[in-house]
Amino acid sequence: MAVIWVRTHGSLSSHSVKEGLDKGDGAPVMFQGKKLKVREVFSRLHIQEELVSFVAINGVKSAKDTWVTDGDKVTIFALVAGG
Amino acid sequence: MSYKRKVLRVNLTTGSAATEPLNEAWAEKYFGGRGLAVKYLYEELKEGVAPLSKENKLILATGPLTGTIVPCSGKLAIITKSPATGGILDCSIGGHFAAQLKFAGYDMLIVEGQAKTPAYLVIDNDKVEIHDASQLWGKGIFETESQLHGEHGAATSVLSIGPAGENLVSFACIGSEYYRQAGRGGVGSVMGSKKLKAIVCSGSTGVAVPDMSRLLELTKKLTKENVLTDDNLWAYTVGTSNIVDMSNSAGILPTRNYQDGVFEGAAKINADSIQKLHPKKKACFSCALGCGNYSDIKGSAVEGPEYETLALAGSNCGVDDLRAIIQFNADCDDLGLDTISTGNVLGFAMEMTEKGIKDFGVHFGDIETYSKIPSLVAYQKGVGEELGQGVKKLAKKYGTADFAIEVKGLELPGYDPRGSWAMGLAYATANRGGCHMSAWPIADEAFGDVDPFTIEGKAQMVLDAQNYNAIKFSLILCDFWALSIETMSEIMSCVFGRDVPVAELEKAGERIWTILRLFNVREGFRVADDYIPGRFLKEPLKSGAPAGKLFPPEKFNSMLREYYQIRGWDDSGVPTPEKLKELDM
Repeated sequence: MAVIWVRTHGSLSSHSVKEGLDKGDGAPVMFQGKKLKVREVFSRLHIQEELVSFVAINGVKSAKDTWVTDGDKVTIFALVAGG
Repeated sequence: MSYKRKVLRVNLTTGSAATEPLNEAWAEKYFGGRGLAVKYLYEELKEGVAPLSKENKLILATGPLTGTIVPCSGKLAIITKSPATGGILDCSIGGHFAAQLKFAGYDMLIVEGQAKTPAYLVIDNDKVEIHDASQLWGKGIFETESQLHGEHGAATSVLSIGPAGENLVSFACIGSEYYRQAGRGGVGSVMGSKKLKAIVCSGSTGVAVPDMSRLLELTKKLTKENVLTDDNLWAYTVGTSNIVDMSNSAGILPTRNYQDGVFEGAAKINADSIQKLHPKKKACFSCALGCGNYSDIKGSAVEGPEYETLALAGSNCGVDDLRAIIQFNADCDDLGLDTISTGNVLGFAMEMTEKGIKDFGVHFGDIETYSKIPSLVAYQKGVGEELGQGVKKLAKKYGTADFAIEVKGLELPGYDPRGSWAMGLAYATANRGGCHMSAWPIADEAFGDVDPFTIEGKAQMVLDAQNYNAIKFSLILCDFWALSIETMSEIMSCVFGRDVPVAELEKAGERIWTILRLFNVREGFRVADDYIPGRFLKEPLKSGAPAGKLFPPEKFNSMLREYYQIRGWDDSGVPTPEKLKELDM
């Protein structure tokens, strides 16, 4: 069993923060095996991919088909407009 | 039609105020806001007018949606010739002033001339008066607004300048409702040069639309299905501070005068840190999004800080103390300084100091000196006198253009184009200078799935975004509402009571972009003015996802040439006669 820590930002925060899953360090997502694709994290948290701007793994922007492994910190950013 | 069909013209030299019919032929082609006001300025201003002379004009424009119940339509456009760039300057400001001006009976206010002594303007429907502002001169925006509300009623809307505008600082802003600003390009100093301290406005008429019940139904539908949706609600839930983590993760957060794109202190100045202050919400007229996050820490009240302030006055100055940034933000708001340019010029001064080029007495991360800068700049004292000239003039004086982060004299906002090449082109070609409000390809590149390090298709991407924003900001719809041009067409057809097809709006968008360009061309702007700072072309980023990347000069030049070609401009960046004919100009 492996665990990653997922943070969701902006309008996606309801998928973790408001449900009480995220206590500050991210919501734990557990999975069998050694690695998991980021896209699969979306489905586990019921996040529609078209609402995702991009993801960062351990603080660095990464592709959505990147593999994550035990202990990784995944940040999922919502779409934004303007600046 | 939703226009008032009336323009108010005030001449501060003669002390006169008169109304005239709105030029409806121009309104047909330029709609309102940015587009219509620039058309007026282009026609009325002679080439070469000094921005701070009495010959320059300040135009405050509403749009065809102002004062209606259409969502996110509450902003005001302010147009003038910029003292920072010598070119066109278009700003916008949130709050309630625009609706008040429309309710007072005017589509537009044109301020001309120069008062002999400090003055402020009071507009109460058709009663227009110029008052003595001697007692207000020298006061900050907060006190000015408070006093004027006390004198003219809390229900009035006020635009005012602080000491920075009075002292003609090149990046002085105009403030309203304490924490809203028309920030960029020195618009506050144009007001200061006219000795105009403030404008107070109240109106009590309505705005007519052809079919109110249809507009009500459309507004309800749009608000539910198109505004309060996941792709817009970020503005309500956390606001722009959310972008700190995004930029930092993408490696484009300006850090220590853009020497890097990853800031080690980002977690201390991000949205999470601001949310711990439990900000209250504020909204502009007719806005369902309510993006304003109002915080108050021990008397330092601000809305925000917004992303641009956190980036330029935070990471760009090496400052990770949120309370210090909030105080800096509050001081800038009160003194009437643009936080983007103030943070940018300060980061530039810090780098010059640390490189031993010129000792401004400021260092990255040194909060003690950092906190004194807004006041020194606004009052033009000590090092503030030099810093108030802006980055471009300082760079020329000290021969430091390579790390002067400006375009056309306007300091850049918070996105490093080495991690988003299309953003580099957007900066270079923005008519008001280094600006993120003309196009924001960051969303697709650094924050999206489009490869930031190719030039294929990028000229078209930037151009499309510029045309889209040109019409959006002329109808005056807020940047934070991500709506399609088809939705704009639906709204305009309802408000005008005639079919306003997408093609008409698209053509108007291109026409508006072109008139902005023509203004600058008349002032002598050419291809050499469409540049990006040397640092981005020569120095690779050090950290994060785009580490090792720069913007190769040949790629930039190639992209710019393609952009001119698609635009129908010649090699020097001037729109061709054929293009002007095509656009009915």
